[in-house]
Amino acid sequence: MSSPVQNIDARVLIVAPSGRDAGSAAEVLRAERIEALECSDIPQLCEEASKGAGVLLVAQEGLAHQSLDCLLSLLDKQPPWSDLPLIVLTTGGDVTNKGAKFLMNLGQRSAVTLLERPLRRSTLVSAIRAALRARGRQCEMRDLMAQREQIVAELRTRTVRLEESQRELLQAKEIISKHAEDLEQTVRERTAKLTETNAQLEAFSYSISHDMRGPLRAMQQYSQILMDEETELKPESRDFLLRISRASTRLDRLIQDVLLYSRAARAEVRLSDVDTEKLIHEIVHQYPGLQEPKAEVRISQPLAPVVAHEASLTQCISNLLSNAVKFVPPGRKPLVSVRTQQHNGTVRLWIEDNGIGIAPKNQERIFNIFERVHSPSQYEGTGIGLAIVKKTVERMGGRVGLESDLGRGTKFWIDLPSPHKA
Amino acid sequence: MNTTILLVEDSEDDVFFMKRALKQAGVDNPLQVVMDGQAAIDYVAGHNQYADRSQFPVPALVLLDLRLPLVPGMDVLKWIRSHSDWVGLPVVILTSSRHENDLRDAYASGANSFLVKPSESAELVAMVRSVKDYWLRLNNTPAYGPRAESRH
Repeated sequence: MSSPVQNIDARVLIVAPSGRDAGSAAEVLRAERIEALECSDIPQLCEEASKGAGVLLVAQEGLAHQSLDCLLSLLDKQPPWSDLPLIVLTTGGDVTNKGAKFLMNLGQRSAVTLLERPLRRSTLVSAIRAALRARGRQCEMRDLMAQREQIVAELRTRTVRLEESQRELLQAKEIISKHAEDLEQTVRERTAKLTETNAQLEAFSYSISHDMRGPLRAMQQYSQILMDEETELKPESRDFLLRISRASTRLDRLIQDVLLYSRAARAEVRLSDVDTEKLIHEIVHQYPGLQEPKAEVRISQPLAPVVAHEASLTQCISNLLSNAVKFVPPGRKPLVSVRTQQHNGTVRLWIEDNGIGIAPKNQERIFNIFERVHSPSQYEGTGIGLAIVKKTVERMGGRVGLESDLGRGTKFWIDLPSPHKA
Repeated sequence: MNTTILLVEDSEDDVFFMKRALKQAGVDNPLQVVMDGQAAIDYVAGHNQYADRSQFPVPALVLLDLRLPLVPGMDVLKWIRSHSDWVGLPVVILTSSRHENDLRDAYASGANSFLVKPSESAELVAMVRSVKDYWLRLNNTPAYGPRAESRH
């Protein structure tokens, strides 16, 4: 009786007031390894049953003289899965009217089995086993239902969480689309501003080229007229007039070169395949300073074509060729050779001269705007030509550089992509 | 026969150089000068102070600067080309720089030629001589001017 309860749902609760059956029934069951608990009366049985029970085993006389409301109430309050088996041990012979009525009442509330005494041991055991088995199924059902409840609850939690995530996702989407809109707006505004700035710069350079060159032209021409028409000019005055004329010519060239540079930095660059050889022949043909007897330009045919913006490349090569024939020591005839070299999808265009060369310390800075190595009286120029070359080549995705031997000549190179892959 | 050259130029210096170059080049065509765009339109149309054609004859050639007070040169050109009476009047743009947009607009608007003012007087004389030889000697134009309309 003191053995620890192993399975509260599989125990048999027994009420047998005479003590006779109870004792023997409990012993019989325990001998069969069925858990049994003897209760002193129905209220105690009800109390134990409310904690959990497999089968109720009650002797009829136990039902006869006691207050049975608690048993009826216990059976009434069973959960939907439960149909607690109740085995009543009847006394042989007649059942009183009252007793029969009560048993009928019980039968409506529970699975009642009547076992008539005297009772064989095996009858009791098999009846109890059958009842426990049925009860076992009920408990399984209860556990399954509990599991189902748990799963449903879990599902509900997850659904709620999912809905929350969806709401958050929606909010995030809204925020992102708002950001995208803001970004687009910013881009639109910036583009408009840039376009405006560009238009202003354009207007600015337009005004420079028109309005600033007018007065310069006047200075040049008036000084020229004076030099041409004044026969009685002192030599010193004539020299001053010459200086005015030269200074204004120089300023005019400077303005034009600055405009070219700003155009090179801003203008749209449209790349296409360019026939380098044809382009260089055209440039040489156009400038008498690049032709015999003033100079000799040797072109190592064939020259490889490149990918470039033709107008910009023309500007670059013109600048390099005119530098090549300009920076030559007095008395030496300029000799320029042009050739191309292909390497890994890149064409390197070489322009090599026999000029004065460039000292190593000046080789970097000559590409900066307004940088000059020589005074204008030695070699005239604005110091912008190579800056235009560098800016333009870089805008076409190429590179420019040089190798030079001071006193013997300079080799400028331009790297541009080849139209032929590999 | 028209021989008058109409110079539309707001810079007195450039007017001076032009007169001098014409003289040096031996161009003896009468020269009329107007110094803003509105005056140019009035002159061509024979309006207001230019109504008297004996004093302000129909021009044989217009030398037109682009940067002008009141009405820009490009608008003067457009005005001339939008009036069928003047469809044959040669208009030569003579301006400070060869700006790509100006070149395109000028030709799109019906300019006959586009010249940049040289800064050397000798070059200006040579240019003036070529202009006279080409536009006033070699070139042919349909009849134009107010009487051209009445002939239709």
